[in-house]
Amino acid sequence: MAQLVLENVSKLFGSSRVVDGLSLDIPTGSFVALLGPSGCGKTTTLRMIAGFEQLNQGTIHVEGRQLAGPGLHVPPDKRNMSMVFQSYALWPHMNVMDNVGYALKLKGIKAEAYRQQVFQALETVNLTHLAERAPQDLSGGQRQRVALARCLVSHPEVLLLDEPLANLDQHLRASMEETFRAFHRRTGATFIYVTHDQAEAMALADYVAVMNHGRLEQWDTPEQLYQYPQNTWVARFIGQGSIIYVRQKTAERSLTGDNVMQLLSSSLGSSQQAVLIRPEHVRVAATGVELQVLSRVFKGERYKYTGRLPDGQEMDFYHQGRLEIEQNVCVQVQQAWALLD
Amino acid sequence: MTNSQPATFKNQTIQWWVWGLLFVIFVINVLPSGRLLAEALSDIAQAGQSSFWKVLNAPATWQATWHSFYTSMLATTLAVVLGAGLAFFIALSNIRAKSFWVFMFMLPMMIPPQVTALSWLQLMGPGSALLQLLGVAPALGSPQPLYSAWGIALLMGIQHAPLVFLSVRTSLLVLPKELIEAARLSGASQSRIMLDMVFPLCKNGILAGAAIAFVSALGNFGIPAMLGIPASYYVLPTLIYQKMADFGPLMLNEVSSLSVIVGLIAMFGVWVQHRFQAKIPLVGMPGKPLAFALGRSRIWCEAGLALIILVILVMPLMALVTSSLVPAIGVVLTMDNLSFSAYAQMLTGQGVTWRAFQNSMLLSVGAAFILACLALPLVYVVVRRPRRFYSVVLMLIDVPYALPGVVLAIACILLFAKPIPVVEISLYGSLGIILFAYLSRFLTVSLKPVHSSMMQLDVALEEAAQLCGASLTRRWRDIVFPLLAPAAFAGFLLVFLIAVNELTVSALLWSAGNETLGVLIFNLADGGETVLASAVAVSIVLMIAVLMICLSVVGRNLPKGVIPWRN
Repeated sequence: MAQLVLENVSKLFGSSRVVDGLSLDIPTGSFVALLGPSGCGKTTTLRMIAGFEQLNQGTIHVEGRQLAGPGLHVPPDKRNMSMVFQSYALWPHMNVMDNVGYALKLKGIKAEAYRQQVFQALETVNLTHLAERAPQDLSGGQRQRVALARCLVSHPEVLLLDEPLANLDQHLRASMEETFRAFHRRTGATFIYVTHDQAEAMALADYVAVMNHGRLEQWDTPEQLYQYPQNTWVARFIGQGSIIYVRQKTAERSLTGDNVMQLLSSSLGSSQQAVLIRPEHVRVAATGVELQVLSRVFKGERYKYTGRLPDGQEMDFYHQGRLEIEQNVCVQVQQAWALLD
Repeated sequence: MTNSQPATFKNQTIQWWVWGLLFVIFVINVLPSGRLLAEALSDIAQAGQSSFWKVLNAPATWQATWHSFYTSMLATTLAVVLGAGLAFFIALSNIRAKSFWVFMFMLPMMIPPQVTALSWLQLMGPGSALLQLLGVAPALGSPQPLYSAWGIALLMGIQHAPLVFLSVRTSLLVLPKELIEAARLSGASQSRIMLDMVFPLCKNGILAGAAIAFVSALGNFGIPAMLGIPASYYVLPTLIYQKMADFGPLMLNEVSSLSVIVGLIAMFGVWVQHRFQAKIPLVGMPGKPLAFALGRSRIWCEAGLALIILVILVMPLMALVTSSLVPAIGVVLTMDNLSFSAYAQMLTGQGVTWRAFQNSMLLSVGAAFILACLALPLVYVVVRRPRRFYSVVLMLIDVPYALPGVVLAIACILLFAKPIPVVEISLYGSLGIILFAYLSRFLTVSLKPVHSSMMQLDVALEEAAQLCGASLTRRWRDIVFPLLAPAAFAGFLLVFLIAVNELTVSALLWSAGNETLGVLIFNLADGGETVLASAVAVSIVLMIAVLMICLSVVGRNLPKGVIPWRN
């Protein structure tokens, strides 16, 4: 039932491969986040889906209809997609109503039908009272909602969002995230959301595509991504955690507390196998692996510590109580995840 | 589905209409200079007999070159002292009504040089109606002090000081306040801050401004023509003009060689200017601009500014107004003999005045309109579908404006001396050749505002429209055009403002029945009809002031730097 299909898509700018052999199967109606550091090719991928960039290689299909491929490029105005731009891209010479209704105007919808559909869209974002305003007179959050209403009005199959929260302040982000979620439920459209903020991606998406250097590193649900990162790069990029190298190769990838404790006590100081240990899985105890506290950061409900293992590797852990710098403590690790490279 | 409207054309061939556009640009901007070069170099093979060699061997050439350098250097020095000084003063202090002072100080730049010359001639000298009114006029028969190298340099210095002013002011306005505050916290005194921070950071602005002022002085025709020719003091532009006036097309070959030399000197100046315009990268956001508190001396500083404006702007204009109101030249103006007959004559009688007005209107409105129509699509192509060679195109567009007007005029004469092939239409001796020259010269003026507006136009605005289903023509009509229109209109007004008073190009290209306003004032003053010339000049100054105010109003919503005298 994968309905937006990217197959082996590549994009070159000059000689550099911005997107390199990317394949994605995106189910209809899902909320997908393209996540990665800046310059990883996520925005280029989004723009290729929209049709603003041509592919150098590969194909894109929606519901079995080919949009792009060798010798074929359906222009953006014929793709039935919408996009929320990072800058919102509201037309400054039109008021809110004209901005929202522009797509309808192009379709030749006039008079009462036009008004009704525009106001319907404005109602869903609670902006009917601002219909006559110029976009310049709106706050950041209001502009964002006008941009959403403009997308809603043309009933797109696919809605593309290019870092839509990047220009908003912290407290507005939470409420806009809720708006996006509600919006997704209501429309049933496929949402593709570009962000470099993992918390945003985790909070919103059904699936996350983690990208790095134009390649797909991992495609998974947020939960899977957090618990079972494919490799050290993803493990470092997603969430908090320490990557500790141990001497023995492990048979299992999911390690129990006993496994880890045994690995840590017997074979430190080499680099055979990388193991991801999340700070919430480390407990201060009477016995266990010895750590020297290096730094302490107060997080409100607890402290986050960084400690040094006997062989010099560093490990993060949480603890309720206050420990002094350079104090030695013993910790027990409750579980860990072995990384492939 | 065909590949009908892709968003980016990077992998596409250039479309036919873009080629057409580039061809038009080539014809109006590159062809004249190319023709001039070809003419000057046509007989270069004859070595000692070639026109280039003859020109280089003529003492008149070297004398005029020396005169040009001498007056231009003096004028540049004055322009830098006046322009940079006032820029420091107005940009860095907390004086009141800054935009008023900037506007007043910009006005001398926009007043055509022949009007400047005429008004100063009316101010100084024995015939001065204003000095007579005050009873301090020199004795009749004593020489006009402005008919000299110093007179030329003085007036060109005042005329081009605003160019330095603008350049320095721009570099001062981007200085972040934090930079100075950081210096102050490090323990620097006010004078150390000026010496160690402000001056080094705007040094390039001063040098670039000096280079533009020098190039402009070198190409100035109106002032050395009105002040130099009566004293037989020739600079390069007036030498070319005089040769053409005396010998006509017979001298074309030699004049071309002379023009190429002038052109090369001017291009060198432009190169210097571009070199220094390369900005010092300022780290961080430009915060609030600086404003040193003047304290109690502020009122005195403002009075000083008013005095400078009085001397360089108000007094010459007063003299001009006075001259336009006397019944005859030399008569002392009193309340009883005040006469508006010159204005009446200008509006009703004398076919030539009215005709020149009509011609200039037709030419400037026509040129401004055609150029706006060219600039809009050109800017779109250059910004949205960039190709490497477009930067060369943009540079070539600058050339005809940077060349001294006389050089461009000679180039146009060469290009149209014979009827245009194929269509067999002769532009020579018609308004057409002047229109062509204006198109060539002012394309860059029309282009600049639209270009900076286009650069600030978020491409996402068009992409959003495209996703709504808008085709390229629809996007142009609904999004791009409405958003560029104010800048295009500002460009239109700027071209109109400059072209309507243009003298340098039309001085060589006009013919009987095809006079322009600039030529008219020049001819009237040359023929001794000072009162009428003054009346026409006063009307022109009024028109300029009104247009500049219009531009300020239009410019309110435009990006910074589009209207030169606005922040």
